Amino acid sequence: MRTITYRDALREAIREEMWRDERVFIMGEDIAGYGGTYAVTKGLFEEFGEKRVRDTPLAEEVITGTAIGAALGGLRPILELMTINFSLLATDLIVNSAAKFHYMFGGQPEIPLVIRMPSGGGAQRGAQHSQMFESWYGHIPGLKVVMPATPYDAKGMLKSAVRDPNPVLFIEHELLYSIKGEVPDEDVEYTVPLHLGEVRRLGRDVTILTFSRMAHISLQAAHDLAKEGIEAEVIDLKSIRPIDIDLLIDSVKKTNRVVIAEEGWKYYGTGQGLAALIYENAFDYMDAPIQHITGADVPMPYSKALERAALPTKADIIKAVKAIVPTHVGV
Amino acid sequence: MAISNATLTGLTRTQLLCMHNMMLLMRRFEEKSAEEYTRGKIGGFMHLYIGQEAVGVGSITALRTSDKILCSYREHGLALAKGMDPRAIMAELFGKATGCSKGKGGSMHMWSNEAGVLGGNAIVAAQLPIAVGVAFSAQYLRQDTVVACFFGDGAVDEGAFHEALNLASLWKLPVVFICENNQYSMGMAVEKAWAVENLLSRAAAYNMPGEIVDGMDAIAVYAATKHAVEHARRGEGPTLLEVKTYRFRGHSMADPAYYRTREEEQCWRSTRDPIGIFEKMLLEEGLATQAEFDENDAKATQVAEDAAQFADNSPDPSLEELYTDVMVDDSSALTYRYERK
Amino acid sequence: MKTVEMPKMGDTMEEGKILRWLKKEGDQVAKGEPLAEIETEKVNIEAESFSSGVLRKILVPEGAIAAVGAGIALIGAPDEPLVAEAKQLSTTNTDKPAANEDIEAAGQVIASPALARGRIFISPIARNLAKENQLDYSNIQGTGPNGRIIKMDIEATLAAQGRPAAVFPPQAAPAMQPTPVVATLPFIEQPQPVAASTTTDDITEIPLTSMRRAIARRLSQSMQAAPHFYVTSVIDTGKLAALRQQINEYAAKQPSPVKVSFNDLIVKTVALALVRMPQMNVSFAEDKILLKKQIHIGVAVALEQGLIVPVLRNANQHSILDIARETQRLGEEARAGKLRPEDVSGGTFTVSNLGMFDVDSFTAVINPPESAILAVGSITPTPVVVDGQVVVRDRMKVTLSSDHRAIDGATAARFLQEVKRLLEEPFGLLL
Repeated sequence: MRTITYRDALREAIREEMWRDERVFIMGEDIAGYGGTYAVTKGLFEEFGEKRVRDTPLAEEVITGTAIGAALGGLRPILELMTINFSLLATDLIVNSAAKFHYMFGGQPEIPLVIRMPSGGGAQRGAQHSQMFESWYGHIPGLKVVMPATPYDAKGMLKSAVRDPNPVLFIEHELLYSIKGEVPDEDVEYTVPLHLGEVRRLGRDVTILTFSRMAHISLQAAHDLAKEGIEAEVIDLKSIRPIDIDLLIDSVKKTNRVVIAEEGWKYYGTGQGLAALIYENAFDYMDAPIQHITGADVPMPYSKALERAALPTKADIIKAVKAIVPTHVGV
Repeated sequence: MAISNATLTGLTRTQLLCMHNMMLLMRRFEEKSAEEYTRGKIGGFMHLYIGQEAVGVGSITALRTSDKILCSYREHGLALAKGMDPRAIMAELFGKATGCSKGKGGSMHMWSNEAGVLGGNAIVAAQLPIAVGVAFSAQYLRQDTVVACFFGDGAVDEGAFHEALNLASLWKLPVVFICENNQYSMGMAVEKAWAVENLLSRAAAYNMPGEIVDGMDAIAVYAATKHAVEHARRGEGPTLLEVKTYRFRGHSMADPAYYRTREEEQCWRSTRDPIGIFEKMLLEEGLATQAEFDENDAKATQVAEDAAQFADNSPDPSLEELYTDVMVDDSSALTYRYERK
Repeated sequence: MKTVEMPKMGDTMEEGKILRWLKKEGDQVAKGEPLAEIETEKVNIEAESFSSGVLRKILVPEGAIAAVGAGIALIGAPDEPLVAEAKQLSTTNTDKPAANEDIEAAGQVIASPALARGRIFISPIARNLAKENQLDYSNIQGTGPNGRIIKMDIEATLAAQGRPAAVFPPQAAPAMQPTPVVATLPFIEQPQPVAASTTTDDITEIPLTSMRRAIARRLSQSMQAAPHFYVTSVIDTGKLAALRQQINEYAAKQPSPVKVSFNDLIVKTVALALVRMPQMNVSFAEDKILLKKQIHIGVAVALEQGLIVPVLRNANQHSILDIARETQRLGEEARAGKLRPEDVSGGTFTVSNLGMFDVDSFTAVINPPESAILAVGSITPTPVVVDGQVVVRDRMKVTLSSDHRAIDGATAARFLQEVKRLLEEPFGLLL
């Protein structure tokens, strides 16, 4: 096992899939000559050449449509959108075409497409460049939406996504690119399933449901809570669509308490959807109301002080856990 | 009268009669569709191709079976011309299990892998970026497939049109953009929407050849498309054709077309009917007889009737179909177990 | 305005039926006057009014049932506005004058926390637990937020009464051990109605049991998440067979006779090998590897419904006879569906033996969060060359599957070497 960055893990997945399958290619804005805005594709142009590593104009609508068309034509495109914020210019193609074709045309066309996009805040990029949109896309039947949190998952899930016959939105987090984690040696072939969540830490007192960068913060919170005798189970959903309902319901039945921790906005989003699922399927097991930790309900401010205040923290999670876990637990 | 063996623009008598037959099939099929719509057999939006037959027949005659077409929501006629089974199209209009999209698509969503019909798309101009991608795959895989992308004059106003033309030209992709300018985007007259008089300047802006074509003349459409297709197949990139035509009916079944005069419509119908123009030309050239036209008409009527009867007799999709085809794999099964409990 | 609530007329009463209203709407009611006749499980009884005033509204009609604590009537001054009336006014404007529905709806409104005074706040699971154990929780002081009675309060009360809490509900997963490194196998199948199979032309659809679902989830996750690699070894079982025979002759004469199987010996072997090589007794936990101090060996048992893996705790510390006895007990209880949660949780290594099915060798899927599993084939007479002569010896193939994230090839190979050594010179097992 080696320790590599999330960024390197992604690049390895792309490389290996491109070597494995001639039909796999990557396209996007500034991914070739520039090496990718977050340096994920660095060196791929030199290795594979212009045919398979394609710089595109700044035209999200047509490059998304082109990736869809290329998938229809038998290729396995990986499209990098520079940030998820720009995907809004391509939302029509993603929602109205990529997500719809297989169903709307009676199962005839398949769109084996991966759209990679960074999201999230925390780097003072301001209101238009610090957003979480997984809830929007997670709403759409016909898409898969995944958000790996570790280098191990980043590599294994990206490889799965490339091999998946469906359109997969592969949402990365800008602050995760440089984190490091263990990944099997390059000669070890592995993939990680797209539709399963994972228990990152077992616990008895409360279930923290989380994903992407917040999975790390949640684990840190769980670590601190353990010192006070509170054992939190941390579930990294990994996939927003489809959602691994069995996993979270089983956990809730065990712990009877839930804290949902996400970076995105509170209203009508992933967390509220999860809360509804839990109340619908595990109400009789609940010992306390679900707590929901989110980013502040404001456009992201630029100021460092304000941005910090807008993002959910470890302390927020600990506070939420303590609000519903009796103090005498674990004593 | 003697029948000439002469050709028109390289088309043989057999091909020309075939084209005639197809134009009549489009017309009779659409008339039948309108009838079934009023009887409540067909629901939703339905946009008829009547008046534009020469565009579909002329252009698709210039394509190979292995070439692909992508269309807007006004695509029944194009799907017929590209070789889709009229029964499967009509059954789709009826929303039946035997429809080409299993009754899940409807009038605006025809598809056939075999015939190379890659959909009617009901989002204006969405088919252009996708057509660019299909053409890209052909180039990447070194196939000599050409993609014909059909859209209305309204699509030209969308950003996707401009992005798509730029990329197709930049990458020299084998695609022919065919704008069916039927004068109105829904109710908006084209001169009120376009800042340019015609699309020649648009083609020039994206550094590709452009041509304005009489869309009521099937032979002219054929010749222009053939030229563009050969250009594309040689790897020289895309072409933009502006094919001027006119829809004889409203935008959709629900459109009384108050935005234009009855006189204008009557004038087009009586003097510019593409079928009439085509027949007149064939007669003048001595390439066909009225009896052959009548025979074609009878055949077309028969096929349309048969399609409607087939559709009517077909079963509705089974309710099990509601949850199938959402994903290619069964990854949604997990969640659906909760949804359908 | 006062709400008259369905009175609790006995500690097990949960609901009551209004047999007869003794007052009608508009009547004057004095405090202590009987209001209605109520039927409980045990008796019919008159409910008295706890306030004076005018009976403004009957919320639960005669013949209807209401839960204890739910509002059944409103008493107030003659001109006081009715809260429930407002709702009724808004509904009377509709086309359907469904009088009964309105009354029931109003009753529910009254039963809501806002209006029902003295409502006890209790979490859903605590309420269910109390119900399951027939516990009257009305006098329990809740320790949750806002004084809510929570699960722990019910459990504490039951414990104080010397009653163990009945497991609620039967499907609930077992409580976790405090140590967070041990996973719980969700393989406990409680008897539950299984949906019927449906058969079409060529295919019979068999709904998944929860055991089958658990197996599917865990093993596919294991196969996809854990990069498996395999090392195989052929073991000479001559001495092992001889030893087993001796042990069994001895064990048959014990006060509680027991028969030791080859598998028992293998379990013991693996446990000892793990003592020597703790780096095999691990779990991969994404950002770290968890080294487990205790050695709990899972023994895969095939059942009609699927696979279950009971766990032999601290297998390294037990004698071979104890291992044989415990394995026998676990096997019997597994087949009887009587395994307890602690019997199937917390394994650190698994042995899967298909030898009895005449299987030469096979590879097994790791049972997460464990990192390795040993697949044991049958003992086969095999021609081998000894000192230049072809002779027949008993051989057994074992294949070790390991999670490459936590275990390297050389480690796995050394471990298998140790297993082979112990099995071929098995007197070490006794020492």
